[in-house]
Amino acid sequence: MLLRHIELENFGPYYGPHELELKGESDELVLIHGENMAGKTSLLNAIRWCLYGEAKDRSGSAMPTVKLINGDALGEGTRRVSVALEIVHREDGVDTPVRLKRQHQAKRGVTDPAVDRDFDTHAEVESGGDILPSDQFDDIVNKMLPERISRFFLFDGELLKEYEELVHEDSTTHARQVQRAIEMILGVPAAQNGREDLAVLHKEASRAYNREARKHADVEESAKAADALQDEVDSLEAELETLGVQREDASAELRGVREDLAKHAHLADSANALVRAEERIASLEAERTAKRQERKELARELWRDVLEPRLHHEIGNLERDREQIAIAVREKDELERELAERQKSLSDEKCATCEQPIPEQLRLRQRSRVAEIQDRLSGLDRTADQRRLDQIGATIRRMHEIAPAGVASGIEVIEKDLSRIAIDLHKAERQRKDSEADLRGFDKDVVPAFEEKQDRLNKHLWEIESSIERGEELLAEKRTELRANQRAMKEKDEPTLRHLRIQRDLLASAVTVYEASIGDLIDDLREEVEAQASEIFLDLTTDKSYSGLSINENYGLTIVASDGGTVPVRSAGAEQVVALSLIGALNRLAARRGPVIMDTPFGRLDRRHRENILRFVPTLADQVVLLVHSGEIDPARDLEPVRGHISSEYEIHHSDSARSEIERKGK
Amino acid sequence: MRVTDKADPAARLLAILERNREKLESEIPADLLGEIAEIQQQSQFDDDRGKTRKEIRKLVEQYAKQMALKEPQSR
Repeated sequence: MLLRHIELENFGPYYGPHELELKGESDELVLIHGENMAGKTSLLNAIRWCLYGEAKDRSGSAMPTVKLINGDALGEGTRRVSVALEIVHREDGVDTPVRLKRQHQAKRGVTDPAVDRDFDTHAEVESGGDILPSDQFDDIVNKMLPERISRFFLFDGELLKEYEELVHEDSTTHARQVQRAIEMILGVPAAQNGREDLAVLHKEASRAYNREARKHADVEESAKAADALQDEVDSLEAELETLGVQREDASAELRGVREDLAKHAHLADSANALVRAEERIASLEAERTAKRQERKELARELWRDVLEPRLHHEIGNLERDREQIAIAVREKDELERELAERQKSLSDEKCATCEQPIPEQLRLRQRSRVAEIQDRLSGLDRTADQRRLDQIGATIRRMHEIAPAGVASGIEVIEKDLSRIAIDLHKAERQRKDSEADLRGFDKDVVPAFEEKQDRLNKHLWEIESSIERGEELLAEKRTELRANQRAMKEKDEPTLRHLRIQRDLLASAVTVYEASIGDLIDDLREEVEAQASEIFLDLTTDKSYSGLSINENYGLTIVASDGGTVPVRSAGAEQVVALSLIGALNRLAARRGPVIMDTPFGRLDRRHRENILRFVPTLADQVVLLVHSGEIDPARDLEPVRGHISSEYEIHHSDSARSEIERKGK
Repeated sequence: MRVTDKADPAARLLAILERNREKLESEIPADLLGEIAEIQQQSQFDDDRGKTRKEIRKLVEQYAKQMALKEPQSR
């Protein structure tokens, strides 16, 4: 399917009629520029609304008709909105022109429409030049681009986020829906519906055979038994189907509870982190108070550091004085002791040591020495002053007390401690703030209720699984019995029954082959998606240390590094590149082809990734329409490499609060 | 414009069906299985399965009638 013409009337910001002309041919890249709020998303919504009768708001909810009508038009009393698409439907190499138009208009007499039932709806459809009944509108759309796979063709930045969720092994319910949609675009329904259709037809054929066989006496009883067995098989199959639905519902509910519990487990972590942060803050604040007090006390003594050099000098002088006095005191002591000995010896007239009389000559020398000592002692009297010595010692001690060294350096250490405490305190306060934000609205009491529900669901699931196991065993037994019965009947069947039997058996064989093939098809497609997405990813990424992507059960893709390890954390830009690689792979493998219309696809990309993706985009589909704003693309710089691919460009101008204009640029 | 049309989904499914047909030594003829797969491929996005089932029923009936004619008498 390719778009050739888009016509809007009073849709969203587009007052009155507006149109866009496209080539409707392969190899078409259309750029539509527009700032935020100009009406890019409304244009995407207009196409979606025309095709499927539903436009979505930013939260993904369906918008009522009255919200779709341009505000000015509504104010002027034009209570009508319409979108028409001219499409080229390509099938088996044949192009068929298709025209679709959807219009909603307020019912006659309704002047202030509020809800959808206040509007009349018109759907017009033309195919190959023939006007078709409006009830064929949906069939025609379904043939070209079924709504269930439209998310892969008409998408905005939000859709990329949905794909990013797929990478997580514990898939959310939402991710499972995306997974199903992926399998749908890959063509898995062709196998799944095949199995269902063939199973239904096989049952019909079995019944038809049994009904006919009852008319023949030879096999009448066997046919009755076969019917009874078929009833049992049907009943068991129906029961197993119900149990399967119950299992799916219970599993979905259990997943929801586990997600809630995981969310609350995270909140419990936040609660513990909050307690730890508060304790840390209290401890740091106490330490800060103590340090500030210590600093205050030291500051009081800071004047001593000012005096310290002067006192140090004075102490040096005093110590030198003390040393001189001490030397004099020691000399005086020694001289006084010598004087006493010599005087005693002179008075006793004999030697104090050997007790021998002292000769006259020696006495004369001693008297001379005594005189010398007395002379020296009289000289020392001024210097060798023990009291002065004690006084100086006391003064030096006092001076040391006045000027203990290092008050300033002590304050410096405290300042460093205080700045470390301030940083730690800031961190702890931020932790407290984050934890408080996480915990806003958190009710601790719900956790036990979730746990109880989880236990109950686990038990319920176990019971369902057991019932399914028993049911499957019984079903296998009944099918074996039924096959034995059918073999026995075959031996005796009449020529008139033969084609009915063959029909039944052919269908049974077809069911078996289809059953075996669904899993194989899904595995095969998953491998192919991985290979294609890896090829695209390596083309798009700027990090050459990556070797590709690896796929999980949900079709989530993880980056693989060149050493074979996975890259667990990736930037928002890398997430977007991975998601685009998945979309590229799905479009290559899709069971239906359509135009890809991307709203704001470059939002989180840096310049080099943007360049790579712009080069890749023209290969994504036969027709690509990009809705971009100037913040993500600079036309002069970014579009140069793809200039040759661009078939047309439009600019959406936002003229006032309720009106936007679409203007064609250049050719 | 596409760089590659890596695989035709119909051909992929048919190859898998054929592989399993051989593996299971199924009695269903390959051409009948191929025709069923083709019908399923065309209608895979249709919610109303009635038309598809009618088409397959008719197809299998035709095959069964032809095969019945060729089957040797069992009694």
